[in-house]
Amino acid sequence: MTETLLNTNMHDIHDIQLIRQKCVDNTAHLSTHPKSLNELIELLYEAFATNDVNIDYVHTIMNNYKGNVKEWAPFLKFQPNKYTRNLVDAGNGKFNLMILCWAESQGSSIHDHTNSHCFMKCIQGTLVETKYAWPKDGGENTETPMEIISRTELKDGKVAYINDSIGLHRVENPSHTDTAVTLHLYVPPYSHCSVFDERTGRTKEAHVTFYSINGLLTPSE
Amino acid sequence: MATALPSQEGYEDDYDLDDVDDFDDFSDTIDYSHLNLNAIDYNELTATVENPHHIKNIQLNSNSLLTLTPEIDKFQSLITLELSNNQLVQLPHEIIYLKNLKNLYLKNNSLDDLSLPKDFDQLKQLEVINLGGNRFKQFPYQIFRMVNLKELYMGSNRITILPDLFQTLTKMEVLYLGGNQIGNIPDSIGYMDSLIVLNLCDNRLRTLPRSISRLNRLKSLSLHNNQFCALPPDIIRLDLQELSLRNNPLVVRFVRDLTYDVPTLKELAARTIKLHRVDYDDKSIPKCLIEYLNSAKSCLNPKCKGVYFESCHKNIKFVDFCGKFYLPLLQFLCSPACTPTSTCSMTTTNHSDDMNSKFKKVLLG
Repeated sequence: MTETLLNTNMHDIHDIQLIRQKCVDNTAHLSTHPKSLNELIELLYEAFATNDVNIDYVHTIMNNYKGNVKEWAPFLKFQPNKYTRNLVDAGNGKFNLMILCWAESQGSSIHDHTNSHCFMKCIQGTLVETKYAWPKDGGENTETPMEIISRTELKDGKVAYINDSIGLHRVENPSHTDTAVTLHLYVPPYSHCSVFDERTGRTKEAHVTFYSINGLLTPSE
Repeated sequence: MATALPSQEGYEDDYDLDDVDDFDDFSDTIDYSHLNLNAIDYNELTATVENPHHIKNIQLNSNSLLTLTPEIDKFQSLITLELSNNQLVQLPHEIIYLKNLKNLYLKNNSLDDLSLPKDFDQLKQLEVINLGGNRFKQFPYQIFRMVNLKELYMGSNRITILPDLFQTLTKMEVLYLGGNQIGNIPDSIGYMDSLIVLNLCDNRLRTLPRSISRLNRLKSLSLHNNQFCALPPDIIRLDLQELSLRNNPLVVRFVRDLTYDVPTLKELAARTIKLHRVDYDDKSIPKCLIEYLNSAKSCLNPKCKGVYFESCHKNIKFVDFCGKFYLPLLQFLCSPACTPTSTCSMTTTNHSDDMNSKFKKVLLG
């Protein structure tokens, strides 16, 4: 399955048409088993070289990437009050690769993914992903508890995928003694999303920020 | 310290004995972690160490240790001792002689109420202790005498009751009590003046003590996975950045159970006296009535000048945060009829907007 990214101009559309004529799957020649974080990033750049993105390929390499703690060390930054988002690569604006660090019992709010693909790989510890259905639109003042679609456990490199057509989710580290770490890929990147109140279904825009970029802490607001 | 090298032709001039000593003392860390060790004694620990007095950091985590050598106290400069993820059932008494120990990590072992030495509090300089993932059923009482503690992690144990002695821990910044079976938070928790992070998630809590509002350095409060129906209104005064409330019954059940005891004639009369500021003194009424009148509590409705005595209406007021989430706060009102729009006597002040601006960011379930 390929998908064409938006925001292309006439030049790019012409290029795309040319490439389409040459080959259908532009990732066929690429490795499916990245042996390092750097190789994963290289493969992602290759996969995103044109505006045709093979999402199945992306899912495959995220799944097969194993990695080790030494590679992730610059991005492993835990905070006692909230989980941290640490940008690994900004993907030329086509994707964002980041590492999230969840200290004991930390969790996210229920959120959407602003029309992007979201891949989440658990590389340390255990995470619980709870998927929710979109609240039915009953108008401004209705308050209906949100409906849980599923609850799954993620660990040992397992990759979860979500986009807005599937639903919303909350991610949390259920452990009171162990930290958890996830590798996230967003296609395309987004800086805002909606967060939801579980009891009422009410929603609000949230600005999404990075705790660190390339291993360096971002200045706090 | 210098050990004489066997003399070898051509080498005596090349070796600098001081360098050899430095090479041995190069590291102040002993790391035998992740080795599946069942036991390790002092000689094994110091096999490649020239001077144990230089060792500041010992990593023995992720083994299968059942005990720690009692000769641990020979490492007098030890600052950090990492023993997490083992099978320790007991700590040697000698551990209390580590006068420089600041960080002690013991998570995921098999420690219980009898595992810590009775005089464990002799470790007066201890700042961080992690006892998470063990088998404590009681909160270790020695902790209350360790007044230099900054971080205490007791997650995932089996604690049901917290002693009301937390006021001694005035330097503590992080208190992690998640994943126990605690039914009540004692008042003294509100006197931990340095507390920044308080984690109470995954317990059996229904309320918080009012003293919680005293914690003016508190930035993060985790209350998720409990039995909270509502929160004390004083929580508004906290300058929180993070608050987690998911998986609590919150309000719905509470509202259904609300009852209102109709006030006695005595109370109604007293309310009228207070509201209309009728003068009274010990010449006109009995002393016991004067004490009763003086015990009046103000109605929490900011627009109401009314008071109540025994009979109050527990109201849930939803406070709107960040324009979206509704936080249910318990309010004691003088009667069910007392609302912002119709009150005993109107005032012009409106405090509810101030409450909204007090919270910066709320992570609500």
